[in-house]
Amino acid sequence: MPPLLEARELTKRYGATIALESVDFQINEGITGLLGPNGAGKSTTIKLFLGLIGPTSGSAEVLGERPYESVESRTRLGYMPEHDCLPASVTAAEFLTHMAQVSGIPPAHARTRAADILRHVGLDEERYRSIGEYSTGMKQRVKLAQALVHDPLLVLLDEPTAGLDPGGREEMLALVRRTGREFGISILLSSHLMGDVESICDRIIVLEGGRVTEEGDVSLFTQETQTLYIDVDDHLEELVAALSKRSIAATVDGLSVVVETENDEQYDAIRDAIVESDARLRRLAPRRHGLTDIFRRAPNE
Amino acid sequence: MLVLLRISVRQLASRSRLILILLLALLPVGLAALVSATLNEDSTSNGEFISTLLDGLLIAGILPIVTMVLATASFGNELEDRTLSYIVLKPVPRWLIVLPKLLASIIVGGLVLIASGVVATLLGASSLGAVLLVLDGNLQATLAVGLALFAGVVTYAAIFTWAGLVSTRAIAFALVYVFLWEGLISSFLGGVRYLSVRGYTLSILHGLDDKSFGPLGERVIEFPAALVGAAVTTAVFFWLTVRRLRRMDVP
Amino acid sequence: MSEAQGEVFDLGYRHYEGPREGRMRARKAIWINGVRTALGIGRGWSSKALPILLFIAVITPAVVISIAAATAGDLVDFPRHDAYYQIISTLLVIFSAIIAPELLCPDRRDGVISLYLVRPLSPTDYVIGRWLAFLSVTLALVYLGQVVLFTGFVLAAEEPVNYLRDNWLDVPRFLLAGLVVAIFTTTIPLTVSAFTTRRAYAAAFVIGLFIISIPVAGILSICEEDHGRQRNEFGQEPEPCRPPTGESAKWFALINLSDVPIHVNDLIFPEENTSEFAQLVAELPSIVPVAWYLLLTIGPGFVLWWRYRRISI
Repeated sequence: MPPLLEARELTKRYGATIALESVDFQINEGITGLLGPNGAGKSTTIKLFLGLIGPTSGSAEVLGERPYESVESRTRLGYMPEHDCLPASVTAAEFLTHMAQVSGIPPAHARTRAADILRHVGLDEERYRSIGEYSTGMKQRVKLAQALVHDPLLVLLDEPTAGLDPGGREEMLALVRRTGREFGISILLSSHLMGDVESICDRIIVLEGGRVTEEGDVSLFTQETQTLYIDVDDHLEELVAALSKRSIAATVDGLSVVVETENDEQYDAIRDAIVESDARLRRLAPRRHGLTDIFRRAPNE
Repeated sequence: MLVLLRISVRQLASRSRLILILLLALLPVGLAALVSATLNEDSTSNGEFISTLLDGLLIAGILPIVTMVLATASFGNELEDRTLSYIVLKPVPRWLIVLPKLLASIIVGGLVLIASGVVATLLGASSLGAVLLVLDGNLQATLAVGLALFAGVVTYAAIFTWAGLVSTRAIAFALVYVFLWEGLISSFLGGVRYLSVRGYTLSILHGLDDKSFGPLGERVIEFPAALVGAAVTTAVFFWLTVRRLRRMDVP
Repeated sequence: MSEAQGEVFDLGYRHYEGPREGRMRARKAIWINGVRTALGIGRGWSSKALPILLFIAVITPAVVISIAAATAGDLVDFPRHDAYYQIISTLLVIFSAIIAPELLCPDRRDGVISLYLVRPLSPTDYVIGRWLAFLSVTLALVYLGQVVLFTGFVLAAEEPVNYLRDNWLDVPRFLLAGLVVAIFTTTIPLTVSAFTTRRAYAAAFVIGLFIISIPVAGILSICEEDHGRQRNEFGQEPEPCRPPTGESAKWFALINLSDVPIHVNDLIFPEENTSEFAQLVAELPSIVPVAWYLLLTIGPGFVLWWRYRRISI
């Protein structure tokens, strides 16, 4: 089976402006985050995979087909745009039924699917109200629902949390997580917010200036950069010495000893070092490096 | 109020709208010039031609279209941007908000339309090149055209300003009113002319100079009835607009 | 747990196992949705008011004529199938100008178009679907009027069977002429709608275009003989009536847009159209009104297609 999405030397130029420059990656099952600052080429990438625009060179393939050349290849693809895309004067049920049909599902099945999916996104009660009366959060859920209504293999979500308040954002992320985990629908999610990607994605692809700068499992990203803060009341020097005896580099930051851990075995060594130094431990806390640091690091590479 | 008037005029006179209005206004002038250039001096169909031009083209077509595009937009922009509250929250009586809005439509639309009608009349009434010579003889006709168009603009503007405040589909309803009611139904049912701005405008035109605009005779109502009709319509819709503004919950 | 409570509702996500009909279903959905949108079905009352009002307005002439014919019992003086499209042409323009933009403008304004174009549907599929949708609505409208008229005439005739035998040819004629009229009033308003996201501006533009073209054509091509005579104050012999554009008046008569399909209609029906524009155009070789009609449908149709081909979202 071909990968869900595959970019091969994918390049897109608008006149002299380069939106994407020779990008290569594959996306398989699970939730993948497409991370990058505004203007990094995230939306361009998504539009290329949807076949809304054609590549300047290279190829963007969905399940081994090129969507720009064959509209049928979009049958099992879902898309949730960043911008507004909902009609105001129809009910959510009516709109979703129609959208399911446009994806090729016959009317009777379309109605069932529409009702089902509205229940799954939590709009069961409100589905016979006009979309125009919905709140931003509810509209965002209708946008997700229309991307899922035809039971796609893969959905592309363009900034799904844009414009939501913190509560709405959490709900949306939970819904996306459920879509990926419980519904078994693969997801490509673009975002400029580290928190979004970090909390729900399995894999991330970092785009910057039209190039892929990082790629890999999200756990890999966060684990290799884990920092441990050891707050002690006394015996600071002894602790540092005990740590260095176990070949763990440590720096002192006020009343804390800061340790960069590379793997989980080091925790045992750290525990032993604390015991040996006889320091009074106040707090032992990991501080996961957010993906912010990836951006900070990226330009050097 | 002057401030609001100035803002409203500037808002209505956007570039695209001005271009559209000017193109429409130039059409009768161009046609009048074309026809008077080809007609010979003592042609029999001159008067008729002016009447067709004024009634069929200007009063039945261009006048309501220009006024509806302007007047329905006078509150339309605020409703769309949800900025009506900024205006409404000011501690002034509501009629002082409606009046400058209405005046703005009348100024922008009226100036262009009256100029168009007057120039077309002068051109049509003479052969080309003799405009100045005939100005004296046609003073009454020209004045009648100007005044009638002014009355039409004011009345239409009052109706459409209200419509723009009441419905988001004001232009659609305005189009139905103008072309179905005033245009089509009134040609079957003569009585409709008593409830039609087009009827008022034509009748005022005819009433002010029935010699020049004799051919309109069969399509008009009594001159005083037309004056009263136009005045009452304007007043009623002005009042309705004020009332609506007072009662609506501003977004 | 006892037997009675044992029912389990599985509220978990279930994948769709049913049929997928791809692009054909998508096209059909666009078409059906277009028809529903045009008629305001599945929307609030404010969306239904205008289509209903306009539908009634367009049907009314047919009903009035039928009733009048039935009461009079004599069919000779009434407008017949050949004249019907001309009678409703202005109404039809108002209907199309106001309703057609509903099918294209909101989709672009609300951004729904971007959801369509990521589905198994090309821009061409979309725009053809919408065009067919509005054509269907318009056809239903004009045929409904003709059918009412035909039924009225059959019932009003003294010998309905004889009437049917003598006049059955009217049916294929009005079917063909109706198609000609409907294609015309579908294409131009939709093309105008492709250039603005504001329904109202599209409607005002189309009505302005059609309504203004009538007096423009009239001024350039028709002379009003009667009033000319009255105004001749010196008792001279009135000059022979001469339209301002002289011999070329018959060409200027073509400017009247709402009559463009009517001239083709006049070629389909054997009866003579006595309206002034039709008389003028009848002087031209019949290929001219046909070519003019084709130009004004295929031209805007192409522009519409081209506009959506290169739409960017």
